[in-house]
Amino acid sequence: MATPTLTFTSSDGVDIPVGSRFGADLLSRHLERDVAERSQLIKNMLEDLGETGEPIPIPNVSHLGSAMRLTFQSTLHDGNSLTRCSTGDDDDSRRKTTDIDEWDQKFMQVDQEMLFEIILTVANMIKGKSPEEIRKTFNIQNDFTPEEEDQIRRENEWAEE
Amino acid sequence: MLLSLPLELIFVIFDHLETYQQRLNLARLCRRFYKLLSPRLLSSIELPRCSPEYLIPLTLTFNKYRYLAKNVRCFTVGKPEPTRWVGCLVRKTLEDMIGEISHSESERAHWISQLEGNQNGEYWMALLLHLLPNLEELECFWVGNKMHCVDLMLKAIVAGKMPFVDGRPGFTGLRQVHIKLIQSGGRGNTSRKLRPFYQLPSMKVLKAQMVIGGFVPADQLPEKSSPIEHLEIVQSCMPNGCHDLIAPCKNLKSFKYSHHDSSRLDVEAFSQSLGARKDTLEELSVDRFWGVSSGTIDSKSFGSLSDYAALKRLRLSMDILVGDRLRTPLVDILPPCLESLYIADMGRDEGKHEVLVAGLCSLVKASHVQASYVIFPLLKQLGIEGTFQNPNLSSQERSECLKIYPEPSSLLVSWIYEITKELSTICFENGVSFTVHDAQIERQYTEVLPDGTP
Repeated sequence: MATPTLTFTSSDGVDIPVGSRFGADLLSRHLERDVAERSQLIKNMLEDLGETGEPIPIPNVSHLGSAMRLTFQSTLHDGNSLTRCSTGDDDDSRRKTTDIDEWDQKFMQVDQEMLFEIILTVANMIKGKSPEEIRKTFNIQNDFTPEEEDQIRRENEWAEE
Repeated sequence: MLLSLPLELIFVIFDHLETYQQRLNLARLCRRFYKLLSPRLLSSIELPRCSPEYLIPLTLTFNKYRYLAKNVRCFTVGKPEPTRWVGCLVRKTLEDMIGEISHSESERAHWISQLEGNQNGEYWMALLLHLLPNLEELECFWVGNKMHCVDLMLKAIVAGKMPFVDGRPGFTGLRQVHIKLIQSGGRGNTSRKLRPFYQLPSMKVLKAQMVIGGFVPADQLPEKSSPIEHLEIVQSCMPNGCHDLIAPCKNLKSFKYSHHDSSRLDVEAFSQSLGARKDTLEELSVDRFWGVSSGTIDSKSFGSLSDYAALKRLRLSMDILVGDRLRTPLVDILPPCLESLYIADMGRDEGKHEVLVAGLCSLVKASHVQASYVIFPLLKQLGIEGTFQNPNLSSQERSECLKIYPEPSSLLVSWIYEITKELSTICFENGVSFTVHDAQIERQYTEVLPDGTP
């Protein structure tokens, strides 16, 4: 029996079939299932839901233009990147470019133009916004104490216009 | 979603933000981002002007939070501006800092006296420099006769008298310096202002604009050799052939000079200075700053470069390359390892152009693998430059043509394409890239005058 086509649905209701431009460009060199299962999240969901061919909802992932592709992509690949990014401050400083594994390297080579577009999109979403507005846009919790906020303000006072 | 991006992408996004404020806004979103991005936030600092307005807040911040100053790797400061009155509060801090950097009461008194008479922001610049232990790249303006404090600071650092906060000698990591000198009254020798940088152990690249050199007797040349490998002295007047700047650089790999003075360019002096580095030089460029009349060039040529054993890229004005001896075969005076040849300032004499183009045809033929003897097996690029711009174009046509420049188009006069037609074909057949350039367009892109040009 042929494996059903994988389709993911973002939290704001946009379907992204693997095999669309995004999927074809990024994943064509890998078995779709293999790639998808690099995400622990998706792997668990596939196991839980079974292979019905129905779109798989991905919670906490909104569709924000091109940036969505990146979210989707890192979500797919979160077996490494999501966990790495969320687990710890301690690991951050050690993660250099040389740590990128083979999958990441191939992935980065796939569509430089698209990656650049994503980077610009996110950068443009940040420009002109206050930290509070950026936090709101990206749903980020402000975890600074008032004292820490004050220290950051004093450290950067010299750059105030 | 932003929090879940790979770190590499967060860094790239951070680098794509345009202002310090935008980067700070990203860094201060949460603790994790601040820890991750705050060192990067200060790794490159650019102040629009060398004035107390910009320098004082930064110096005071770094003086208070020394750990922040350790992050600074690249520091760029714009042109100097007259100072404002220094308030009492700042004055107290300043005196404390002077106390810290002085090694004796007389030295302290000297700094204080400099403070009293100082009329520009360079005092703060000097104090700021001593707070940046990990600086790797520095770009700033130098006011010819007024940078007393920066001079003092540099001399102290070079002499090892200025340990930084952790006790290390200063500027051990400084590898690239770009100084834009401004003459303020008088035309003193300014090349000596560059001397301190020659003695720093990690220096590799020194670029300076508007340098004036004088004759330096051999016994007054710096004794120590310098690790500098790349030297750019542009828009300058060095009648001594940059001898005092070239001689200490025993491993000089590239040298660029553009002459900017009504006095003649002493080609022989340059030939001698550079001849001592013929085993190490890989790149050489000597020409006139755009706008200096060709009549000022010495009629003598550079002489043969055939024994420059490492020379890969060469850019010379036509009259420097061949002088009056236009019929000297180029194949006899160029080195066999040459990869790229750019002949600047071909002048307006079409007769000379044709002779030169014929010489270049022979040169390219001698790079052909099927030639009876191959002299220039590595030659891959050939460029010629002159006053070739078509004066009859409308501004719209010009801007359209500029988009494909230096591809052939109506931007340049048609006759230059006609006389180089055979050369262009021979280059194509031999796998050599050939381009024709206009001097004015080139300088607009490559030689930007500093704002403070007097």
